[in-house]
Amino acid sequence: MTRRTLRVGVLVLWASFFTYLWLSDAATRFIGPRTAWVVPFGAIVLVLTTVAQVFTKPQGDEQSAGGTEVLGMILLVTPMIALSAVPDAGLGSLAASRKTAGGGIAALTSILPPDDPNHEISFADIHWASESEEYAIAAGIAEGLEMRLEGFVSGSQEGAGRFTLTRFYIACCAADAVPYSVTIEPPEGLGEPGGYPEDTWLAVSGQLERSGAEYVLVPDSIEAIEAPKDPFLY
Amino acid sequence: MDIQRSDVRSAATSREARPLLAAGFLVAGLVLIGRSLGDQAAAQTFVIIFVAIVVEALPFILLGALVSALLEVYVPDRAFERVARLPLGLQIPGAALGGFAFPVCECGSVPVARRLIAKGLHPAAGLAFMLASPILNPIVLLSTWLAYSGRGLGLEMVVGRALLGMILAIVAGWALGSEGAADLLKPRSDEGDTSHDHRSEQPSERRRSFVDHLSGDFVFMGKFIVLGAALAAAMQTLIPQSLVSGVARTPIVGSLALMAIAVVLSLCSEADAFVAVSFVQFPLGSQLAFLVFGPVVDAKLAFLYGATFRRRFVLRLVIVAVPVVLAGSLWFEAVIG
Repeated sequence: MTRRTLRVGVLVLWASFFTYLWLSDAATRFIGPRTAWVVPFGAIVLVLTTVAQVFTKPQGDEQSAGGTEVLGMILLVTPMIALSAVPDAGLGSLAASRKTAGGGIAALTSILPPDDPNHEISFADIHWASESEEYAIAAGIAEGLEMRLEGFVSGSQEGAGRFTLTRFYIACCAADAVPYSVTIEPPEGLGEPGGYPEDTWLAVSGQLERSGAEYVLVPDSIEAIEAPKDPFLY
Repeated sequence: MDIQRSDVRSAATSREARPLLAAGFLVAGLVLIGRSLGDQAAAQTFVIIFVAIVVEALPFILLGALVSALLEVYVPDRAFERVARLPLGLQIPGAALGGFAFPVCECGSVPVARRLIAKGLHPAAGLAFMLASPILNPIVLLSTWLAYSGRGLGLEMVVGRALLGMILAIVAGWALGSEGAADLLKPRSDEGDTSHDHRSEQPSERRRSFVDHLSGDFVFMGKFIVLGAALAAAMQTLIPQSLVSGVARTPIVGSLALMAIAVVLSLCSEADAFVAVSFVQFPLGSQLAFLVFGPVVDAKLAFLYGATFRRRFVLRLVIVAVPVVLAGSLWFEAVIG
């Protein structure tokens, strides 16, 4: 096999993969909206490069591909092999335990909610409201606020029925995901008696209450849901 | 002459083969482990981060390869010779400022810098361009402003990032680029495919040469990005960030910790500010260190640099970059923080 043939093969695979990501919703598993343009860009340029490479005449004698080249090309398509081997890849409670949520004491006074009238209060807002009263006021977060959260169960359960619900926020891709969690405190008789397994996706509706400085959600309904196609918040 | 060239190529192939062999086994092992674990959380986490980094980085490699091929085939050598005749004191800052006009992140700037140096630009100037463009380009500065404007610090962070990035690029370019191009750049085993005469005036010849250079650079750089992404994903899967962030309350330790986190995360510089702004437990100067160090040194870049440059380039770059970024971040903390 020549180097050129090998190269065309790799280009075909990557062009197909990017085209699939572009034409399906699959790219949202990996990439956020801020950098979503890389997928159509990659698909178009890779397809054009592949077509151009196929239709340009090779120059002179072509060199045969050595073992190193073959190995290099296999390496280049490893992401696709890995994804085939673990098709349900995703971020869950293990990743949440490895990554650090925003938080702490410095600069909290300068953190403010987005200046957007359509901004929907979610995990990060509740996290910041627990850290900063100024944030809570600016975001309109207070005890008694009715809300619905969708997320996955993470972390060990701290008491009878109490658990944390988590979502990842991404800026660019899954590598920069930051987990934000909200504590759920179901009243007696609501929820699974034995607790929910980690990574179970739930929709929880209820009212915000304070538990010390922290805002927690006291639900009036909890239902198991399918993991959404786009698991991230932005 | 031909024998010498063949020997050089063979030696380069052998040198490339060792890390690639190791990498091949590593990645194959990881995939096999993932396969056997099936639904295990570690495999799921590793694969999603691994693929996400590659999907995000490869189009930038492609963009860099596109510009690199254009430079190689369509820009006449005399243009580079004119620039190369300028005094080095002008070339280095001029090249660093060129980063303002090149809107790609760090993965794209490496093939372009390699091509610029190979075409005659002074290595110090080529390196200054490579290190500056992922920090100074307009998209990066705009995203920095957007990320920090919510905290009323948009302008300060943009100016701090641009200034410190520029200083780092000039200092590191000058310190690491004093040797000749042949001593700095590694020969590539695949260059036999793309080093034919592209100066032919025949448009069809030029088109073929352009396509060969574009696809050659893409597959060459791409495999090292895959390797770097595997390393970054493995570190993110295995090492809790709290190990580092838990000890990071003072400006010096905070800056060093966020530089370490930048290496592990291997983020694209066009979006890293949105992550940096969430590290509010760190001093502002440390966040600046994250924003300047990350685009210059990270896990995925280490492999790309290793494939492009000779003589422990990554180690020498770290030795230069850490003190410069640390000093700059402390100064920024003292003035703005």
